[in-house]
Amino acid sequence: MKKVRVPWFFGLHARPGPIFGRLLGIIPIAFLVFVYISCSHKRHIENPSDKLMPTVSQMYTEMKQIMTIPDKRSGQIFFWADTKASLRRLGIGVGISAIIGYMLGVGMGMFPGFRALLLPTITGISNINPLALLVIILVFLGVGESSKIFLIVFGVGIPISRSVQKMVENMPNELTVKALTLGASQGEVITRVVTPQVLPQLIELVRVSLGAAWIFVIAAEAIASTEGLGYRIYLQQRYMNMALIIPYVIYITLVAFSIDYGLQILLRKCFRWYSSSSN
Amino acid sequence: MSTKNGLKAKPVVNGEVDVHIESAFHGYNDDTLGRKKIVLHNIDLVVDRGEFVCMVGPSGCGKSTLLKLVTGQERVQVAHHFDVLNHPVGFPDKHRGVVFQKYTLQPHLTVEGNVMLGLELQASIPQLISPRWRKEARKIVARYIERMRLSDAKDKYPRELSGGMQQRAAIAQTLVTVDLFKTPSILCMDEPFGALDPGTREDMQVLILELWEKYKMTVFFVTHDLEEAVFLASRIIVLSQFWTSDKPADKQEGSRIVMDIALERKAMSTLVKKTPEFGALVKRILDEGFNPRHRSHVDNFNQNLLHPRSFQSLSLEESHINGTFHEQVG
Repeated sequence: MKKVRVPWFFGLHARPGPIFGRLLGIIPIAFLVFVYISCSHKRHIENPSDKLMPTVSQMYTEMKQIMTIPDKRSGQIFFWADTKASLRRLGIGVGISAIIGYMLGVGMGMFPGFRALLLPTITGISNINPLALLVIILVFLGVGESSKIFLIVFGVGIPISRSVQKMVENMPNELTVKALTLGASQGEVITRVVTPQVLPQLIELVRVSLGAAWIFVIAAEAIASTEGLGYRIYLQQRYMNMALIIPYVIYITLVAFSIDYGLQILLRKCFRWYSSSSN
Repeated sequence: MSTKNGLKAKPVVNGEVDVHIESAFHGYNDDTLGRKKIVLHNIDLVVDRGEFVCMVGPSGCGKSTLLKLVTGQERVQVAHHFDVLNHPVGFPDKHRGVVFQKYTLQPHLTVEGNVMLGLELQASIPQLISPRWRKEARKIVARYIERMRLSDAKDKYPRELSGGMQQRAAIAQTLVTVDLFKTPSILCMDEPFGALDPGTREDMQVLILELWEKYKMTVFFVTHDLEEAVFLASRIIVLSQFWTSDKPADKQEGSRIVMDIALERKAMSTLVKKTPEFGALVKRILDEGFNPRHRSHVDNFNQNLLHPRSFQSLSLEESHINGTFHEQVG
């Protein structure tokens, strides 16, 4: 019998296969890297002191310096201090956002009285652009950590609470009725039925919200800060030090990627019932 | 049988009555009509402890709505009496167990966790922290899981089970508290076997009858399958919107109980379904309750309200709650 040939790449029926599929994914990245390197090489031949497109070796020296040599005045290694500061802001901000989002969301989703009380306000607030509010936040809370964390909570916590509310409202009412008929009190409905089902979805929401949270961290650091990944980038911008800025951007991307990946693993490990159903 | 104005008189209601409904009306907002549409029209129902009541009727007749009123998921809008277990009907609680057609298991718990849930929720704090009680509870859970032939699946999540297995687990979940806590007293089931294949379905029917005979609880069972109803029930109630009276047509909206039959419990074998009496009864219910062209007149309801406990309260016009109802619903 003649075998039907399944195409590797073209058409609706293509099956790239595991190895060729991976290879395909690498091609655009390799291409972009190649374009950058060749452009930067060309520019450096024309003008050896070009700052716009530093060579890989220039980036390496800059990064090595900032990652290993402590600052003369503070004794800090900037790279690690920046990472710590930014991750701390991100972690606290997103953590508080998740807690607030959970409490408001479950409250509004489950208790009609609470919803009637808060939903109009929350809906109104969620339409305010957090970045437009940044100046006001800085005026009231100062340039310290609290204003940055407030910005994240404002920009991320409110949307999370609305999503959680929707999620809870979409939960089949039968599950609540069932729990009540099994003898659950109103509080137990929340702790034994709603919360365990909201938790994995909350982690999913945090994953999605991290993108926005990073924007707020970097923006807040750029405007008012003395350390942090965003601060360093905007500081180096004054010297047009692309050899540091570009690796920093790549570094931020990698950090964001690993956090996302970590949460994904957490979800798969701790909530088997959830991941087995969504995949 | 005593009658009053041609209506069948109300039986004596004493402490052994599980459900006591009199002159109940229920409706919902209908946007196309621009007013409330009546779904349940003057429902009168007294159900004794230990009865297996099957509610059948054409689709849209409100049988599920009536069940929701009994479980407390919805509040009845107007009623002279709506008492469950000798108290005015409240919100869902442990005295009324429910089995739905779908969404009956908690998705985040394994079969074992789901069956255990009722015991954990009803246990006192000393019981919960006592290892001896927990051991006892686990034993009961294991027994129910075994009885439902789910032992192999006890560590699986609901999503990983077939529909029949899920429903078996749901029944175990609902009944597991009977031994320790004497709950639930009333079991409400809304088309619990509707999504199952015929073989599994018959299996479940026999199972539920066994459990009913063992625990002597009151069962409310909504189904659209007449054969299932006749096979299971000790009492069949036919709700139907196809009836008529001398009143104007718009006052005839909503379903009434058009048939109420007591059935003798026969030997429990699915072979009963093949007998001619069985078929005749199914056909009779179909003709009297399900046929839009056959509308029995209110005055003739007595012919089909054969259960000794069935009765008719005054009609909408004569009832003193008439006024309030029309303000609220009409």
